[in-house]
Amino acid sequence: MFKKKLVLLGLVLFVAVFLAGTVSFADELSDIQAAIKAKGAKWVAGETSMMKISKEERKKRLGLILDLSPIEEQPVALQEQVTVVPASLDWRNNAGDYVTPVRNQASCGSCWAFATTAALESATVIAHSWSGVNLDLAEQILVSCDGGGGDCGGGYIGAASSYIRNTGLPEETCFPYRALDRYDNPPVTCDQACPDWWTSTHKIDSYSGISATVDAIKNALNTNGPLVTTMAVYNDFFSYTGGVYTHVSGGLAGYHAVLIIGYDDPGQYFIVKNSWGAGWGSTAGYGLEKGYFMIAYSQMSGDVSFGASTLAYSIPSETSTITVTYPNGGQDWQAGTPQTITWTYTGNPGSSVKIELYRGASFSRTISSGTPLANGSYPWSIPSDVVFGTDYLIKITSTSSSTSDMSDSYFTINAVSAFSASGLVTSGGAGLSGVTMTFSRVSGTGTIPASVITTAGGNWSQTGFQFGTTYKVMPTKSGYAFSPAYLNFSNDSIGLNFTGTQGSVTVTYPNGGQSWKAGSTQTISWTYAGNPGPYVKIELLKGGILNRTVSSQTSIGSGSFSWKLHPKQTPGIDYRIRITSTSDSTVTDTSDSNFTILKR
Amino acid sequence: MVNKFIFILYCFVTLLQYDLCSGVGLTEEMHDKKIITLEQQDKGKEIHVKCGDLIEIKLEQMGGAGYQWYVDNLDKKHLELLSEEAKAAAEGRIGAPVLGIWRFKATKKGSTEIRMNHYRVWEGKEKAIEHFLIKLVVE
Repeated sequence: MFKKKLVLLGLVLFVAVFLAGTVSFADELSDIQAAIKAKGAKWVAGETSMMKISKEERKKRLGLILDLSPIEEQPVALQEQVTVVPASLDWRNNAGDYVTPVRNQASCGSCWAFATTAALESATVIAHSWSGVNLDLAEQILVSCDGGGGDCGGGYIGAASSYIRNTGLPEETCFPYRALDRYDNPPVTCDQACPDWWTSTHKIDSYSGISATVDAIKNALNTNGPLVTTMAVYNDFFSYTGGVYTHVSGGLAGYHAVLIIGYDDPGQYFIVKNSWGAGWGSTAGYGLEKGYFMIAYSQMSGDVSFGASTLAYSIPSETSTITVTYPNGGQDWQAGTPQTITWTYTGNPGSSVKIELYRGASFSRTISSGTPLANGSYPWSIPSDVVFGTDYLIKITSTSSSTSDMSDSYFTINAVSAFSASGLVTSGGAGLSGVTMTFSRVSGTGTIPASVITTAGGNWSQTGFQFGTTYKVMPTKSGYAFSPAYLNFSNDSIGLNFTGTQGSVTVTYPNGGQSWKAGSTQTISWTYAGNPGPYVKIELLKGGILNRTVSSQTSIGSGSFSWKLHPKQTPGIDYRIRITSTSDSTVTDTSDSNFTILKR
Repeated sequence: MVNKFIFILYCFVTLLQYDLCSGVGLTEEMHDKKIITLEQQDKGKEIHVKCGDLIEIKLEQMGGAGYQWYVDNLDKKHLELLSEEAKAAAEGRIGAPVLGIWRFKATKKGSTEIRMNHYRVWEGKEKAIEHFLIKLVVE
């Protein structure tokens, strides 16, 4: 009996094991999501089209822990300050944005180069107060040059940091990232960087090792800025799309270097910039750019080992200055005249400056919202509407920092003075009266004098034009076209002359002698010259008296009009056609002689 | 009654096992299984194995860069994935590739293949940077 039971038990177990091997399991994403739920984790595993890989096909990976210790040069331990730090910090929004955009290391194992380069970029923009500046430095130098710290097969953050301290990195344009190294085929070697690149690099003064504790990392983030660190990557991390990451499932996939850019005590997490492009991860609560993640403080212990090797970079803040050199007090300027504002600078106050005009302590107007700092000068045509004052100052401010300077003392701006303009309008060799001369501004802000009308001799003149403004004068008179159509002028101007051509219209058909039958369709045609206006009216005269209006408004440009005569039009031998401009009744013409309309 | 049930169950299981691997007994100890190890350089080869043999594939993967090898539509009629693991390929270096090891068991006679792709899961298979294919004849 006992033997039978044993056989039965064995068979049942055998069948159970066999059948278990044939069961299809949920896909990996579901597994991760289930693990997140089961462990009460606070992050989101996102769906991708390629994630339907069964658990059977991807059983848990059994990772071998990598040795993190080799660092070619041990960093100097930081004097960790016991300071009161804020409850949260994000260098993307810390009185400015000091985190450069997320990069993509692609399929090269160069995370160590991207993390250290990102730290150098942030340290540099912080030191120079270059908020929002996309300083893009060349990771490829570290990957391709001897001593750079590694290659596409991985590297050391300590060695890379030493290289950044001793040699530094040029800008990305000098050696664009290729995701290949000097051992690839074809090799991407150091000599492919731009010539003499080492003469123009960004460096750090020093770097320091940070203890693997939350407090030490928070202190260093506040003191130094973003930090290079390392972590173990598990398979579930690839599916991260938001929330606070904790490892919940999946085997080890490798070791990784990233940049810590902030923390949040209420949420108990660090904010981290990755180098897998902006298609992965989340915005981590700020801005629109993805590529970041939040990771729980708890992940510093346990298998993720977040923060196991952490480095802080130091660059002393540079004293940058801008000095207004002209006008620097005592100048006597005239509104409406061109002047040149000049300045000098030291250090790196930014790439461009804003130039403003002040009256005493009060802002008056912006002269330029962004001019290259390196120009050292700005040509300013003082607008005509600047009022008289003896207390003007120029202020020049960096657009990316608070570095600024003002004129040492007041200078004067005198109100703009006026000038006059005059000219003559003729037509057929004689002065043309009644022409309206209208003025407008081409550039500048000077006042616009009222229109004037030419005298009996065709002359016109006007005053009240302001220096510093370019004006346009345009003649108009009904029925006339003018050459030139308008003239621009500035300063005192005489001889602003125009020639007018009177508009005319000529009936060409019927022009006398024609015989039309009542009810027939006829084409009336005409020509015109000058500027008689856009439309004409067409009338039928009998014996010189208006008989009927053929068309009250027809485009003059058409040159003809198709007219169906009334079937009962009174026969007669004394008809003529009259064509008149609708905008100027003096422009008119009538058939030269009579034509006949016959009975139908 | 119990004897009858045991006998039917025994026959059913024996038949199933026979169908999967002709000549293979109820326990693995009853045949002389081999382990065939394949690496990157074996890509594209046709391999002849015996039913019950183990196929071990070793490929480097850039986990630190977000890349993994994924088995593409495993033929479960002929193969069973027994295990996956990762080992350090270059010691001590951050971002270094790891050596992924996949072990399959040939479970049924016939021709099949193992396809694998190396890609970032959020970018999708179509952006794979490497492919690996082995043709298998299970005898």
